[in-house]
Amino acid sequence: MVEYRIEYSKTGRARWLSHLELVRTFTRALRRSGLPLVFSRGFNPHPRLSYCPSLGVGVAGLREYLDVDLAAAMPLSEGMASLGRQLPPGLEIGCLMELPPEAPGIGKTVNCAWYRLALPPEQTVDTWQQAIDRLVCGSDPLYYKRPKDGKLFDVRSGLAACRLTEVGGKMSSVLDLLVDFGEATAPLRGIVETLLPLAETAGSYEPARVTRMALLHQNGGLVNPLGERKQLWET
Amino acid sequence: MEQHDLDELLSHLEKPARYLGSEWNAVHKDWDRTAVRMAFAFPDLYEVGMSHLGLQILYGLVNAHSDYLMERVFAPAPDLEAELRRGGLPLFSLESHRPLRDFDLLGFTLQYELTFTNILNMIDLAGIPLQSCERSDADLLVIAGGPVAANPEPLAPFIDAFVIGEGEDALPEVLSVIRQAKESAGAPGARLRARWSRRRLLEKLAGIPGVYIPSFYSVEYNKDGRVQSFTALRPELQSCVRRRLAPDLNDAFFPTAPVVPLAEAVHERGMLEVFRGCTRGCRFCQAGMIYRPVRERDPRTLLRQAREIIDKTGYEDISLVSLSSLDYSDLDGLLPALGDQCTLSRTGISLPSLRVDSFSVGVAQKLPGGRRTSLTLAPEAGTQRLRDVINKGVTEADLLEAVAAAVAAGWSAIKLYFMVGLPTETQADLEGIGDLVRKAQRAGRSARGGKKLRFSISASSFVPKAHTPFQWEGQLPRQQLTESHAFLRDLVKSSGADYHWHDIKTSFLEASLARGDRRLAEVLFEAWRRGCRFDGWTEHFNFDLWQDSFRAAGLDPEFYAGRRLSYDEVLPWDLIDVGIDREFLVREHRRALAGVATADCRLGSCEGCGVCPSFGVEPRLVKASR
Repeated sequence: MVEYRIEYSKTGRARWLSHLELVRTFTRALRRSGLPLVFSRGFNPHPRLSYCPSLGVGVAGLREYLDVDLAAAMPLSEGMASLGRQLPPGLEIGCLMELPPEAPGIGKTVNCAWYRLALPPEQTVDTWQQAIDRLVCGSDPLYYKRPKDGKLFDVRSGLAACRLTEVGGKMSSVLDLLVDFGEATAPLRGIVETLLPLAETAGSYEPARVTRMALLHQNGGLVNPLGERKQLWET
Repeated sequence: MEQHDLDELLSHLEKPARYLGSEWNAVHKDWDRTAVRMAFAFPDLYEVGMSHLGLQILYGLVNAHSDYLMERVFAPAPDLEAELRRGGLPLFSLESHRPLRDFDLLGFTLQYELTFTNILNMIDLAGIPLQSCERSDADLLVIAGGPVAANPEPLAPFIDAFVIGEGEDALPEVLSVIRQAKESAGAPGARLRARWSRRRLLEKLAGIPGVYIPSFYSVEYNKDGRVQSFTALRPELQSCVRRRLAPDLNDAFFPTAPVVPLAEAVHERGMLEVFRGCTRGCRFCQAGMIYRPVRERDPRTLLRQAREIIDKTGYEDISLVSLSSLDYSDLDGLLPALGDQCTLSRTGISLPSLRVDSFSVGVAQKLPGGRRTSLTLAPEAGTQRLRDVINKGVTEADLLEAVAAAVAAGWSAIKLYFMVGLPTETQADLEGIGDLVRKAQRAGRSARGGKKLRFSISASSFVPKAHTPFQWEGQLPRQQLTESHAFLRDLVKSSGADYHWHDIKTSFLEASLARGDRRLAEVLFEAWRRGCRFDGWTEHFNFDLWQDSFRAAGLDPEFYAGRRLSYDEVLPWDLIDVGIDREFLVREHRRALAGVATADCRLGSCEGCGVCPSFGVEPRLVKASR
């Protein structure tokens, strides 16, 4: 048995799939691909797959990961092509990597994510910068209350890094955030909904303006799930 | 719709995956290079519609044709409807996200009477005038078909043309007429309009066998509200419209690359249609009458189709669909080979329903991937007398053997289906259900070595349907049905089984619409105007609004649902000829009242329902009867 890690992107119409819908889509694509899947035992055998932490519905992901067990090794290019042909629009294979035996699963390989937000265009970059400074290093407490269960989050606690960039000739700004995974980290929606009023912007969280650029492991430096060292904000 | 606007819209929805249109096997054709564009409308949620074989058949069939394209649209969930109305946006198709009014025709499938308000709502959201008579030459054509078109009358004013019966041959003929209409307009690719007036188009369509144009007929009523007569308003029209059927399913188109849903559907499995039509002759069953005769597919055809479905969908299960799949005459030839085909891909094989006997349970046990959780059996009635009345050829011994076989095969829970309020039903028949449940429990317990088997009992209320031997029978008053269900619930619960019943008001409304005439269109309009949608969904159904709507239209639902009709009255659905002799239905009704069973024509004897001579066809069995 050989374990493979698949890097893929989830964009376009596919960004609107929930995690469960994505899982079923991948399972069927793998079943169609003819790759030698390893099935669980029992009456309802299913292929052995593991996914990285789920993306919010509507959020795009450029480098997402999925581990799959295959019964036999295969040439990487062939595997990529077989699966790639079976994916619906918006899902695309980036690369495939054979994992060494005993390699930790994808769930244990990542502990932070880099998100990129296209900020609403109505504010200048300076206004956004002030708002972000307050979001990151202000002294006033900033809390987000999750509507479904009322849980309170300190919005600053999971924010590991951020960067504001002005893009294009227009006054549109892009915000990069490095966010730790963890119980205490506020959901992305909470971070954005805290930030917008700080910039005196009336808009609400729009998942379609968000892209998860990368999933990373931070421990001193940054390493992606393919084992490559990365600088902060390096694609 | 622009990508940005679509994203903005989707971001407000609970399940955006319902509206993406980017499913595996979805067909995205070049709009400008296709002569005729049709939107297939399923008047219920995506998850219901995507489980439906008819949609997949017609979608595949039309899109296989280079001159035609078909896109899908489902009833918008309340959240999407609210967004569309708030933003003044038109209802759109899934594949290209174009407004429905850009298509040449919009075709609804009629599977259930309680989707009718959704049809009105979808027409309205599309920005098309609700009534056929209000539409101009510039508006697209609205057509409908499917089993409920066996009595299309309540929808008559809203639909330009109905296609009666199986659509495999009829729909391409309709599309061909539309292509002619557009070609004569000069510019290829132009929208339907121009030189052919709406009237001329409808006249041409009326010439296609199986097409029914309601506006070409008038209905006259007696003072007491019963239909007096129908008048064909043009000399060339027949007095009634005969349904279409595909004589040989081996030649018929079948979708082996069905669209694989993105949002989770009610049933997610590859569908293998082993045969069409059922001749068991259950007297309450409309499908058993209107899909005659039995036409089986050859096992080689089925095995090829199964292989393709598995390869092209990646489904975890494949289901043998039909009205009674275990009646397929060559199960021995089909199942082992199908099982072999499914081994490598670990595909399970399932059956949507089981016949009540130990043979069926034995077959189900051998299928790969069977979940040994709950087995469903439908004896329908509690006493042999009543089972003979409804012609459900099942005995108590059959049921008890099936239960024992199920236990032996490892099932730990059994669901039993019954119908309450069947013609001639007495208290003894209800008590009979209680007895039967207790006997089944005992049979289950002894087969499990004293361990209890979990039973759950589901009961619906009898709904009389057009073109069945019970079409003349009334539904019991609601009060009486409520008492019967309450009595049964206590009886069943006292023996430790669960009891579920289908909402009585829903069944009452279903009966009123199922036997309705054209005047009910006003009730539908009033109900839609008052906000009725998704009436088949308990959480959306609002009976008070329906009662108001009947009152507003000056009609009594009881007149339609509860009245016993006489043999000599004109029925609202007499315009539709499904090929069954009226005399056969009368004979079957009389035999029912006398408690006399009628044999299945699979077994060799012809009971003279009239379908085969009507169509010049014969039942097609791949193997002589067992």
